[in-house]
Amino acid sequence: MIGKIAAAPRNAWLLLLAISGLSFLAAELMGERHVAIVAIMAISAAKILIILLRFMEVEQAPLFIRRYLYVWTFGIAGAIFTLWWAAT
Amino acid sequence: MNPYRYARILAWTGPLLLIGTIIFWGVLGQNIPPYSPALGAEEFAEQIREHAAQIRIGMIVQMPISVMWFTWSVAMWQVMRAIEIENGSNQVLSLIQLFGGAFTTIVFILPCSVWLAVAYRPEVMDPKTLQIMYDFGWMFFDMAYSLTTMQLIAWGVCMLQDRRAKPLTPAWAAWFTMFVVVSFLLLTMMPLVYDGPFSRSGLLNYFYEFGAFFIMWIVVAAYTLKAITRLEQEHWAANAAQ
Amino acid sequence: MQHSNMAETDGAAPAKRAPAIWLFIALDCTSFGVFFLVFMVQRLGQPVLFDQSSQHLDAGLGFLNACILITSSWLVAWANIAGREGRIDHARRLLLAGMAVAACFGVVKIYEYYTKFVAGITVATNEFYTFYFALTGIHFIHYVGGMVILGILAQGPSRYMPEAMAKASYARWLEGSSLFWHMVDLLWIFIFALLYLIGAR
Repeated sequence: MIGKIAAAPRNAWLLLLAISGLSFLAAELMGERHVAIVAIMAISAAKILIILLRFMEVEQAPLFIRRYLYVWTFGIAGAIFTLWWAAT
Repeated sequence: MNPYRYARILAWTGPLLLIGTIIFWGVLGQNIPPYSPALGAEEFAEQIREHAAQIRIGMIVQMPISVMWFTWSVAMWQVMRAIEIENGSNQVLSLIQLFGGAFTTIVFILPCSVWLAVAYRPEVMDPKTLQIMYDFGWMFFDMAYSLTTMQLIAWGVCMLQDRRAKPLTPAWAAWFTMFVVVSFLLLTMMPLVYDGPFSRSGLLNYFYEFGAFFIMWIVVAAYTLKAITRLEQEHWAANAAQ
Repeated sequence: MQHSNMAETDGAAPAKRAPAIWLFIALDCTSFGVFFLVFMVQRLGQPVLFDQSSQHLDAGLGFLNACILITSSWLVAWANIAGREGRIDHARRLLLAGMAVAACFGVVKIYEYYTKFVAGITVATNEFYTFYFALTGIHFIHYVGGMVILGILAQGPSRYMPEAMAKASYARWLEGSSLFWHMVDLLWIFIFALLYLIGAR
């Protein structure tokens, strides 16, 4: 779905701004912190994916690096949430 | 006349120094990791007094063997020169690398002399004096990083200029090396903190940085040896044909 | 003697180096990933301190900076496409626009640092702030480096080379540099989340 919406860099840009706003609001307003943090990290991962795919055209990158960057994106986002949760 | 005479022996001094450094500087010298700056002077002095003998031996050996960083740099210089001559360039990069190697040799030797002095007669020294001397050694050792950064950036850039179909050093090794030495910039934080991951014994500024540095050392050493083999083969092939 | 040494040499090698910038990006992201993880591990023992310190940061400014970098990234992506299609003047204008927008990031960052110093907060204040200055500082160095490169590219292809060669070289540099710039944007996304968002409230 992200692929269709963010077909052009300009659409990607608008989408990025929009979901950045969402994650900012989630941080500031959401009472239930677990849900807020999941939202923040999921949105962060989504933003990074959009940048990788639409701005950086990561599909032109060598396969190994492409996969590594996907793993990195989800891995770091997941690890941050897990470590946040472990501190509660 | 073989232009790569001595190169192989010189290239082996690199990995040899790595082994020596781990044993003498690292293990005997109590540098895995070094003493935390968070230690109070009294506690620090106690540690030094307890381990003075082994630290002394460690530094007594580490100081003279550190010259091998320079001899290793000469081997790298020979490989770089070959590439620069082929490219018709002015051999600036190999010169920069050689000087960087010479300077880095001092960065190994001088702090070791400071730590040797700390371990010389700690029983009669004031703890605070011991501590500042030890700190001084680390300030020099860590903060002179740009000399090594300069050396290995020059090496990496030169390796990337190799026009062979199969380069003497693969691109990933050149980039990895340059990345590691640029990462030394993180050491900027070291003099600003007294504990935690950015301190001289911390997770980032010690384990991560030094770990990456040692891996890089192995990578550069391995490719320098391989390069010398190939350059010698090329030289004999060219000269046999005459 | 030199010519026979070139037996293994041909022009193919440089093209194979194209993935180099991707490798650099992967390495840099790995490095930052390690920093992020160490930050979170250090936070394990002192979440209240970290969150309280985080609340002193202005999340609005962090959000503004995220928007600035995203916008700048978009303009540079656009410039890269233009450069690829040979529309050099268009590319240069877009690069300048991207730089102009990104300049605001620098202003905001310096302002933020200034407010911290004025409040007596420095690198050694507590561990959160050590990471705050370290992470944003290293990121800022990447930002400055990127701006310098974009600035050079905004001058257009080299005047010291034959035109065809200059254009090809320019397109390659533009490609690599825009990737680096997107990485600067990308890293800020995690930095913003870590330092400004997860400790909020």
